[in-house]
Amino acid sequence: MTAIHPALVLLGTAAVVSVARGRLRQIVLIFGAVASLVAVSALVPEADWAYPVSGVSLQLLRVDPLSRLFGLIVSLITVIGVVYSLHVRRSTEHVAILLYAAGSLGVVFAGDWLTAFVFWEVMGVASLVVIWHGNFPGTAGAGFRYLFVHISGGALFFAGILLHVTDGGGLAIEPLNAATTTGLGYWLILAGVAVNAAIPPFHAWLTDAYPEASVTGAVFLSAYTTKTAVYVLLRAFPGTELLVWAGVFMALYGVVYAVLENDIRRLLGYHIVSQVGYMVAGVGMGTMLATDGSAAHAFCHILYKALLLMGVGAVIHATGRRTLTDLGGIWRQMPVVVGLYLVGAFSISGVPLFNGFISKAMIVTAAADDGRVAVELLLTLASIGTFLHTGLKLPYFTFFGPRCRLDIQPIPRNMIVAMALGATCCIALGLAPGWLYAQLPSQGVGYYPYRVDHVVASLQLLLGTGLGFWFLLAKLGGQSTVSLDTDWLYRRPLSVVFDRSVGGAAVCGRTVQERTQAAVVRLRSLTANPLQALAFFAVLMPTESAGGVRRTPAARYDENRYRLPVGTTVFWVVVGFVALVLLVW
Amino acid sequence: MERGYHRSKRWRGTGFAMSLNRTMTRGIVACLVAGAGLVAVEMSPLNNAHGTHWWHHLPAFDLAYGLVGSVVIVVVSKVIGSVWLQRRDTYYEDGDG
Repeated sequence: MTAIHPALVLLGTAAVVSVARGRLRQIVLIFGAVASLVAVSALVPEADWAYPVSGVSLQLLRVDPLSRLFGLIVSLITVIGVVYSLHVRRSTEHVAILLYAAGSLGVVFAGDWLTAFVFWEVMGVASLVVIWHGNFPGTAGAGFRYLFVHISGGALFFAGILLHVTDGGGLAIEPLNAATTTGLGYWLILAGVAVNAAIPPFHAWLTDAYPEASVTGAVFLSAYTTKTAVYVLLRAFPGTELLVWAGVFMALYGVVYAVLENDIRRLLGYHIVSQVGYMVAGVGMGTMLATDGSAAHAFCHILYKALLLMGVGAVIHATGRRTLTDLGGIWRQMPVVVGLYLVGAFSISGVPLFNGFISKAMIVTAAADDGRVAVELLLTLASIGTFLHTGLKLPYFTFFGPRCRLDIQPIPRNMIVAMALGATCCIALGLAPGWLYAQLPSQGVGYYPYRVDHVVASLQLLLGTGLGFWFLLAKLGGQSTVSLDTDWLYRRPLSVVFDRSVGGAAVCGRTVQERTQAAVVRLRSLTANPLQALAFFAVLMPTESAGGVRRTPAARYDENRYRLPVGTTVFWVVVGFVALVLLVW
Repeated sequence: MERGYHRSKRWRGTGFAMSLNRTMTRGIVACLVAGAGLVAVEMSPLNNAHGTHWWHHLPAFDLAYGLVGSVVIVVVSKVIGSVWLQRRDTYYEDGDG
């Protein structure tokens, strides 16, 4: 067993980072992240860590092309994200980030459901800490809502695993279907994973919490949780028809909300939902091209979405503003950021020569090849919305639109370097997709994206969208509004129910406490003076020796006054003992 | 009662508003010229169409789909937003419905 589990590398790094300071911490961070990437690269399919625990075998490390692909991108984005966050002074944020990444790698390389669940929860807790490192007014509340949703999702996931295992489904993570698991276990696992994959209506935690995280934390948040969920879907639910339509719905849902959104990071959050929709639809179709497309798109999406969030993070860092209505006309002050952001925007929009083009097209082509006309057309429609908002609206109104008088702060050099790394990866994959295709489970099924008809069609689609943008430009400006989403349910009606429940329970508790205290006070007076409690036996009470007159018990009890002689006590003990012996005998 | 918080009217009477029409016109012309070029390539022998459905072979289909699709997305989203979804940005902080 020569392989090193990459998650252990990051856990060790987190331990050192928690005590290191200054430049040393920066060096350890980069070294640890790069070491985890090297550890993943060194993994071979034979690598296997299995441990027997209480009669079951837990597989901490299972390596195959799919887990290796996801391991590579998780560790690669950890390197880029760590560079982006080098200027952060709080070591707790770095530790949380490393634990979050370690949890993601743990899920990706887990060979059994129990191991996956443990790392799943590590991710949940670590990501919550990452969110709480945000410094916005809504951060704390968003974090609590995130906690509520993910505890619920984790409970569903675990309940499903228990049902699956107890019904003889086995611990190994294998494709699930009605034949291998009971209906309820299947649906509970799917629901638990759907929460992390942000499949509507379980998606609102993402667009609620991610914009409230720090600019550095949001980069990691965008990469790990939803993509590990896509990984589990690829493992357990390929070919699930429901996921095709869930994915199409997600792709369009995110686009519709992005039209209405004013917060630039929430807008990108809705596009995470939309892009994950493509992956979920690919999983649902289940053909080799579709599942390879989902894996490839997850890989590319992590890179370009991180780049986009790094770009808008740089804007927020420099200006302190986060809404379209508060931004505009700043491209002259940050031309490098604009250029690097646009690389991410072109990538997510599927512009040829950028990485989104080589992966998104696989899923759409898989739909066409599979005879799914509606799916193909609707996913293409979602792609139009992506370019319209991420590629045109957001950069236009953030960088080029009506000029706002803003005080621009300098951006740390490490942020620019990280963005350049991300942009380089996006372009490199777009120019040479062969490397990525070779890593896929089915090697991309011979897919080649740069056919003339495909390139021409893609460019036409983008130009048509551009025409629409220019026609509608005056209608696309930001609005100072909030759009109601499914989180409304637990922020409004359920919140009232929760408040009333907690309030009612508090009133009940207070009443019980007060009455118990009153009872105790009464009992205390009785126990302090048992003669008072037994007042109705007053006739049996010993009398005052002086004068032989019976009196009521003294108001203040003095036990010595009534204590019997020791001999009397011994006498009654002996009598009792003899009686007991006689009774037994 | 909480609808209609359109802030894009802040452009009115500004230099940006005056240059907006010019910018839009340039953008539209540029897209049309480039689109025409792409349609020409699509109809040329260079194009080796592999489409599985009839619209994959229809000249300028994707150009039209991009234009119509973007208009549909914006219009439908705006209608849904103004009718059901949009509230003022302090909706959750204010605690009113």
